[in-house]
Amino acid sequence: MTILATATGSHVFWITSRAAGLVALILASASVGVGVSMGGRMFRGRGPELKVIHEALSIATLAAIALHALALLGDSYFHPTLADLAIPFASTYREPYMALGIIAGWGLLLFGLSFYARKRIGLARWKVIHRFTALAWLLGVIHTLGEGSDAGRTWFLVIVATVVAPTLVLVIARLARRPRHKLPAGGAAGRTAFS
Amino acid sequence: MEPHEEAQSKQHRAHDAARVLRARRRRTQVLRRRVAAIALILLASMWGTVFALGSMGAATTTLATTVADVRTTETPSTRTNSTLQRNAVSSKRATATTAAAAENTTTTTTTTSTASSDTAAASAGSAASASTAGTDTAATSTQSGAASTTTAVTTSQS
Repeated sequence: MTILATATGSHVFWITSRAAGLVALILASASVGVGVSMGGRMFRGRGPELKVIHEALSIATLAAIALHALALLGDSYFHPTLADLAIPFASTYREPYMALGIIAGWGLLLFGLSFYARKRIGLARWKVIHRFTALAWLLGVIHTLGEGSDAGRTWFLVIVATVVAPTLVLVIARLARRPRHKLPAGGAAGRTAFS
Repeated sequence: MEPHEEAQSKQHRAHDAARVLRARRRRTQVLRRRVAAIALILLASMWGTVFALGSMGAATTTLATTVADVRTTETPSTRTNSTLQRNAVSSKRATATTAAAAENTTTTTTTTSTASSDTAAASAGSAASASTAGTDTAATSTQSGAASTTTAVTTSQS
């Protein structure tokens, strides 16, 4: 433990942030994948279990994103302010990928937590809002590939491809299925993709 | 059906419903705990992966200390162009990692060679800053490079 602490030195926050970012990407990909599967009714009879897993994965993703951002506050080199981490384009560091990451983080938070306000929002409207989570996830992927310190490394690309590719296929399959479910006029709102 | 049988049946159905609800709640808890455990395991394994394979991974103790000194020496006032300087530090890290791996001598020698690598990398960083960001930034980077060199030499002396 002492050797590890000495070896990492002041990089412990930097490494923690990068690890948390990767975990957030993995969990978000899994969550979006499960959500799309639920919306597309790909696994019949597993609805309640998938819903619980989707919710738990989403909350874990948000926790990982929070750790990803907050750990940077302790980094002695980067030393960002809270505004740098919370407001898009407030920092000049590796823009526009930094801003994309911040927008993705806020997007996942708002569109994800909108689940708990679905009764107030209205189910149809919530379904429309909630499908933008996939867009926020995609921004997160771009942020990872554009800004990630290890973005050019094989191990990193293998991990990203392993988790992103299946989800991307599910999202594309879901979008491709969309035109077949044409609903009568007036009933289409909120029953489109990911609903 | 007798009235008491009907009441019994109703009670039985209520018990069944309660049992199903309890089972569902238990199942939900188990699934949530599993996801949380997987997330924690993922975090630990990713931390290890980044530490071992990341861009400044597999660093020796001496190297980590030297790079840490370079990082902490730079004050916010010297960070006028964070992107260029981050790149400069990344190249310092990469150069220092190569130097540390190549040198199989005593700790003092390794630190000194890392310091000279830092100076070269800092100079390269200054040149890059001069070509892209103007004279002011170049001067700042040069100061930063000098500071890092001093720190590294101090480390080797101590």
